[in-house]
Amino acid sequence: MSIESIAQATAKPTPTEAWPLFWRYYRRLVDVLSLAGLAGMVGITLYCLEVRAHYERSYAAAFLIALLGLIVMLLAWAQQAIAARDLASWRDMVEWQIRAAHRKIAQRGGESELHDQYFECLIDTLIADMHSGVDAAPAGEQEGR
Amino acid sequence: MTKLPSDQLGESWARFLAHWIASCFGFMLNRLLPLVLEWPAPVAHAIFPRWWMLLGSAGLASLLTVVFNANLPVTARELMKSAAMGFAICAILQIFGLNG
Repeated sequence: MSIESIAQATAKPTPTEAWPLFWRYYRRLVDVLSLAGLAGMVGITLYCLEVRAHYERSYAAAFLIALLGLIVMLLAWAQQAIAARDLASWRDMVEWQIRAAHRKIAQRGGESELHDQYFECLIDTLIADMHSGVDAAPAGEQEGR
Repeated sequence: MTKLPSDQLGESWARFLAHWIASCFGFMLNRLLPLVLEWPAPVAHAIFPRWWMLLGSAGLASLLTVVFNANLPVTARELMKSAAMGFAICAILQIFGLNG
């Protein structure tokens, strides 16, 4: 166990803030544009189904199914967003604890004491577990919860 | 640990469903566009499929989209790509006259 590994693991991952302002606004602009395009495509499709239902009655069923599909899509979207937020807050909490433990080690003494302490071994295991978990099971297993 | 798992690639059911439905919307949009392009009256000789034909073909064709896109995150940007791919598949099927 080394203090560098702890420091490396506890460094805040903030890739978005490293980008210049222009690129951040550009990304936001593209996101907004694609959201508008997606809403336009879905809205026009639903409108077309509704118009078609005036000519052919049975298209009302297709309209209803498309509405249900839209709701399912939004639910899946929300599930992804909520899972990401939960995981992010959980990770923030763990990192805060690790940083606090790190500070405590630094206050208490030098590197020699580090090898004797059970709690820090636990922390190191936790870090390794987080690393392997993120590397091995990228999305599906962690978001399924 | 540099990225959130929601930004990383990987399949999940939520992603599968979201991209599949988005692709279905793109597919159906291509089939139904004559209705709004010729508003208020649709083109007289335009033939529209039965509603279950429309939904079924959209669902089947969108499975091809999902094969490629189900590992993308669910964001507006990625869903746009799925919808566009559904639209493109429908256009290709129409070119080859396979759309019934």
